[in-house]
Amino acid sequence: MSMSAPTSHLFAAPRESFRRVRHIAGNTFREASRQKFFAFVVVLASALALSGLFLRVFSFGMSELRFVADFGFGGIFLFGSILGIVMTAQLFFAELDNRTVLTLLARPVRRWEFIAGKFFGMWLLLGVFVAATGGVLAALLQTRSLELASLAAETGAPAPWFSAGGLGVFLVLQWVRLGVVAALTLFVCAFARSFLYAVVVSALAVLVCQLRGFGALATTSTGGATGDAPSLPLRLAGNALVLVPDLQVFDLGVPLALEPAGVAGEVLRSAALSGLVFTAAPLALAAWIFSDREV
Amino acid sequence: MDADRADRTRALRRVLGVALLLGAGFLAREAGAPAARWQFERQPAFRAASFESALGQGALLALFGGFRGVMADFAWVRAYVHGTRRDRASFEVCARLSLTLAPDSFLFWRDYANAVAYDEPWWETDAHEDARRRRLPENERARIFRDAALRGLDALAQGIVHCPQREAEFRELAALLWLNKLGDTAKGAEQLRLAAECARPSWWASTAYPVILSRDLGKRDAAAAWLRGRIAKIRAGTDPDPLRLLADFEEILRSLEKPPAARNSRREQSREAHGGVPTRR
Repeated sequence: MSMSAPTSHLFAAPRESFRRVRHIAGNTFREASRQKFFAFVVVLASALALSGLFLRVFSFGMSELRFVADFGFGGIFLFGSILGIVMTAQLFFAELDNRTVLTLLARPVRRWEFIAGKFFGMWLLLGVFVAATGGVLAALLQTRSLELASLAAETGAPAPWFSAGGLGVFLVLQWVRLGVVAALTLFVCAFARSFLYAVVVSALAVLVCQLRGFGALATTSTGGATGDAPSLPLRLAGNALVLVPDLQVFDLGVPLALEPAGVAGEVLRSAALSGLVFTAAPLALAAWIFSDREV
Repeated sequence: MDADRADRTRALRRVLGVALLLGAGFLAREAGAPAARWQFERQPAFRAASFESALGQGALLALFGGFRGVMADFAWVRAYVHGTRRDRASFEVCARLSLTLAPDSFLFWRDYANAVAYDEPWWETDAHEDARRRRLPENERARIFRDAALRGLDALAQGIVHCPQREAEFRELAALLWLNKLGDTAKGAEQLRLAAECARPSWWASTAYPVILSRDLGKRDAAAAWLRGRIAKIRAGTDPDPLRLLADFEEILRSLEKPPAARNSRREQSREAHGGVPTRR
């Protein structure tokens, strides 16, 4: 008996923290999902995925499925990023501007719990977005691949390849990727003084993250086929890019869903792991900065 | 005293923050290395001829993100429009953009190589002649056409790298360039041999190669030996024959084994009329 009291005390704090984070996350999710902007973005992204079906006549250089899938993949990342940046910043600054954060932090809620709650609420919302848009895309690709397969059987041409499981894996990776975007936005929000500043800086940060993969060229001396050594400033810039997440590693939609060879498990694990590290690090920094901020 | 301590604490926190970010960065770099390497090997932009152009193409690739295929199509339409206006520089920019964004497109590589080898030299010579109001010297025209054909061969070679499953078609086009534009029958025949021996061979290359080898290069024995080898492999089942080439090979071999005077059947006459290649049944 004498041992049980300290043990329960030891685990009480994390349990309470988890409960508070869960409450804030649930509130954030409810608040965000009721906004018209969210519904608008979901409809727009789904419409874009569907439009691929009607615009496929403009596809010259690639298979029809690839063209339709490209529309969907592009829509998920583009609109997911817009949602991840704008709504995260909007929900964060709404708490500050409406002074509800004061009421919240007057209770026994730690500041890092507030940041974590906001993040998980937003991440859940991004999960719903990815699932909704991905569901439309999966239905579209499945239907069209069956039609194309029956046409191919008539003409004797090879049937197109589509893997619903591969698309599912890709959607999970996109969720992780959008988590990185939301975490980066919260990091910017933690020190930003205005909503507009947070949105613009976060959008630029996402752009830099999208270009990050090419920093690898700067850090290696044999980046090009000619083996030209990059200049010192380029090498330094390339090394500094270690601080920036590489969002290109998540661009695995085509090999996962449309190519029989697929992607090795090691590559998938690696992409997911790097995404999770780059979600945790900006969140930790955001919590740190926000703990010193006057609200 | 308290203010000093607060400053020191703040500075320490900042240092710790940067250290955390660096630590996470290095950890993520290590964790993400296999995924980054995989993307690096998959993207042709990374294999570009120079560091700067790789960076430029890579930037395009990254910016367009998931919309690569769509952007490649739009760029291709623009390239076509520039082609109709004989604007070579703009055509090259747009066509190259398409190829960067959709490097695995057979159509883009094939049409780009054809445009470079067959259309661009005419645009160039016409532009020169319009400007000078006189016909270019023959040696200058020949140089322009030769350079264009070599650029077309470069494009075809890149096409083989990016679309290896269409190697036979690219090599057929390369053979035509060597035979018709560069006048090098040996190299043309070599391309036909490679097109005939690749994983998905072409019917035309398979039948044209032994004929060109014997008729144009005078290597009748080598052509017959090649045919015998192929026939033996098909009969043994080691060489799949999806194109049903066996009968064509046997017919060409019979024709090669006959003395020239005996080759006068109607079918052989018909073949002579088609440049020595059997007509498709």
